[in-house]
Amino acid sequence: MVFSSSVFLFAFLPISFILYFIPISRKKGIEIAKKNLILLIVSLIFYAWGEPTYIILMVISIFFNYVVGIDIEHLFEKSKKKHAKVIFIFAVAVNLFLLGYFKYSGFIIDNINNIFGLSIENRELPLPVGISFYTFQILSYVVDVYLGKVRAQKRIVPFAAYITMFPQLIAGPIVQYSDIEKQLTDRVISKEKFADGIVYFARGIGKKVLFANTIGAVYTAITANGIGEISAATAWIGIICYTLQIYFDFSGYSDMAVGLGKMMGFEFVRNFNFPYIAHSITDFWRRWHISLSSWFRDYVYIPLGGSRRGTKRTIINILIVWSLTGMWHGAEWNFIAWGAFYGILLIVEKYLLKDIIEKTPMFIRHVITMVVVMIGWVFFSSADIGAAFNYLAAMFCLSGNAFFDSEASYLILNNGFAIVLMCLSAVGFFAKMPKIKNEKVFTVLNRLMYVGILILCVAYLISETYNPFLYFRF
Amino acid sequence: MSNIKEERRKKEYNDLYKELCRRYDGETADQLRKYHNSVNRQDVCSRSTKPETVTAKRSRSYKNPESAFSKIFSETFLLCFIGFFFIITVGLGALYLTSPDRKYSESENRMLATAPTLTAENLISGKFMKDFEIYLADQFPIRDNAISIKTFSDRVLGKRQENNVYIGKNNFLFDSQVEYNEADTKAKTEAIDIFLSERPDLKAMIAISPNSSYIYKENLPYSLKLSDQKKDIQSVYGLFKSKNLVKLDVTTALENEKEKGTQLFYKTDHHWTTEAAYCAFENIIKQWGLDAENVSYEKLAVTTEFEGTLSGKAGVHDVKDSINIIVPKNSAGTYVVNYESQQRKTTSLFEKNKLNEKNKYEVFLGGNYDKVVISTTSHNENTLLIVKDSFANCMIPMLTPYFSKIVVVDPRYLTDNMDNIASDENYTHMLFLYNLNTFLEDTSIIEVF
Repeated sequence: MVFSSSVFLFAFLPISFILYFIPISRKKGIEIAKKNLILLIVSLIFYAWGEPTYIILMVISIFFNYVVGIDIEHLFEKSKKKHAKVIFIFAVAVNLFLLGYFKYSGFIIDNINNIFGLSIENRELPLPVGISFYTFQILSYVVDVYLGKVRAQKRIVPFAAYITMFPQLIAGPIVQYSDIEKQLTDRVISKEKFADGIVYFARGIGKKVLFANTIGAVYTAITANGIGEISAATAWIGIICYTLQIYFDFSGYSDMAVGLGKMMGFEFVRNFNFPYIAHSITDFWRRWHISLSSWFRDYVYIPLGGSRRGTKRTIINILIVWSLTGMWHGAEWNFIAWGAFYGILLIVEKYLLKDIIEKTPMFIRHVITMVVVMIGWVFFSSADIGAAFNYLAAMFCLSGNAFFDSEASYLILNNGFAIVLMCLSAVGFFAKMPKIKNEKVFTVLNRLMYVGILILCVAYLISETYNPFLYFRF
Repeated sequence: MSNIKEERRKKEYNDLYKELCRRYDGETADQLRKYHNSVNRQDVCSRSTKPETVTAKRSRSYKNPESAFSKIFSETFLLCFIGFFFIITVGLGALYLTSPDRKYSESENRMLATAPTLTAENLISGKFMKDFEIYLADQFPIRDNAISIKTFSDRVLGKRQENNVYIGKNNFLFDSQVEYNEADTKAKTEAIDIFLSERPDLKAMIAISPNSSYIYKENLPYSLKLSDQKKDIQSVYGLFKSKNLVKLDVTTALENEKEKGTQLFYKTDHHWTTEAAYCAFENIIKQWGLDAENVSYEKLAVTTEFEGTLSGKAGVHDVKDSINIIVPKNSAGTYVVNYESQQRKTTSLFEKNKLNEKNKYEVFLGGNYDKVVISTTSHNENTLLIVKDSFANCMIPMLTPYFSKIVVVDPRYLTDNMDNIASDENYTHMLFLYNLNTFLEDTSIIEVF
């Protein structure tokens, strides 16, 4: 089930919230425990709605890691460190194997077949939705328990609720266990927070339904008939549309997750921080999908030695981390290329261009960063690397097509205003706009706007047939 | 609640906060600081037990103190909204349960999804969930209003295209065009060629009309280039090999008619007007050299309240069209219409009650049926077999004086095949009457021939 569907909005959400707010107890602990159980049950239903078969996989995974966590801690208490290490490595291997088996087996077999000219039978397994997200959450728990950063969760309900929690289950943010440990047993649920949550949710669903879906339809229409004859201008419009789509779609999901979390008393980390105002690639990745890059930093980059083992080792570490980041987004070469592309750029920025960048005027740095990011999205959005290079050729007038044609001007006339509006929104223009001085007026207008957004979203959702889910390969 | 515990908790938190600040920099740190402040604030609020102190501390601990009004307003307002949201949900739920499902959307001119059946198999495969979501969207009680809201906001943003309908100048709405594809079209023309080659004495004619997006291309949204349908129709004609098939150039005839100021297409619907059909009809009769005694035609206005399917599909309701009919004078009682599959006979080619419904174009023949047999009182030997789409419906009344029998076949709804239908009667004439979009899109032609 996705958040931007009428089943979620008009059936799942009201029912699960009513259930969630039923348990009231004078003892806070009991109330939260009951709420956790309800959260777990509704989250399982939420997942089963979209993945009726693979829910078994998730449930088994939860049980396994629950037992592993307790076991590791138990062994540490008995000072059986070696034994604990064996269990830990086994658990990490099992989790990675499950992720690898469902996500990468087809890709690996395809490549083995291609390289060695073999024909191993390749059964295309459908990818369980959200497996990349919840596997990473589980790993953060197992690793932190092993390192003694957190205590093992003794109760299965809060642990299972952490893994399955429906706000972040299928499209993130990746919540690290250490960030949320306390909230699982003790969190503040208040009217204020709930109202705050609505604002976040409305903003998120607005980003997804009003912005991402509409602009995504333009990109889809541009690439639908192949890119053989598109002009350079059309290609640029197309990739601008995709750039906007993926940001609003992804950050919209994150906002909705944060909002839903707040309504239930949780505080999630912020996942996007206006990535398109970045002035360098390093800056971009501090702002884009923060929960993923911090996961890779905490659980891959730093354990590998980070930047403390000399330049050579740092470069290797960066490349490893970024190839993995690319692979995480999908089992295709173009995703790996996309990740490696960023890895190389980050190294270049860090070691070669550091001085030059500092001397460059800010405006030019913004522009260059955005162009590079858009080139990145070409790799990300294309079906394969060949298609990506064809698209780039069209963008940079190397395909021999016209620079500008009537299609481009039609696209500009139709969507130009929307594109400008979305660009301004993406760079935080509206967020930074001077607020109306009279606070009462501002509050009333601001809240009315969010209510209006919700109503518009409902209208769009009912009439719209184009409502894609972009993360089925994640 | 012990103070020592409280203190320890705070210390723990502050340590973590410092650690995080060390790790992040720039804006992220600002974010953290904000978050830090807000958590501290909540701690104060949630942990005190006396309500009086809550308000007191709350207003003091705010960095940018909001007025009490704003706080109360935003809270109650949003909570009210959520209440309202839930009520709507329950209300809609009740509506769903009590009102019967709509099977067909008149305004969108398509079948709507109906309730999926719940079986173990559907549940495990996930088919039930997918169908249920489509069902919910299709059967949503305020669906038509929702489409209008969406269109309105899109138009504010300057969008001239909605649900595959172009919103043109002068209130014209245009259906999108189907692209010409030689391979697909060839399969159709070959099937028809074989059929015709087995009946060399049949006087056959094909008349393919362009769509309004070609005839009124000057009203298309600025800078929109669509394909040259005149050329496409010539290409389709060029694929036919039969010698007994006349290919009528409807496009030129309509272009000439347009010069005279006749409205040839509805603004809100994809069909041509009766006047356009009359223009094509005159050319057909002339081409075949047919004659009838004392025939003259009269034009009657039947409605000025026509909102066509494009209007519903796009959610644009700016103007309404008028429907006229053109019929032979004193034609009443000169024919009997037999809707064979419906087992229904009538003496009129018009269904007046359709004028009270949404899709008023169905006044002609009552819509599309697989096979309709019209027997007329005309004294001649000519019999006509028409293979058509809905464009033909408004022309058929004009043809009645020239044939003693007219059989109208719509391949899209036909379960029989053309060989059977052709062998029922010894037809003298055969007419293929289509608009280009349907001819290119419809695959049933291959199946029935």
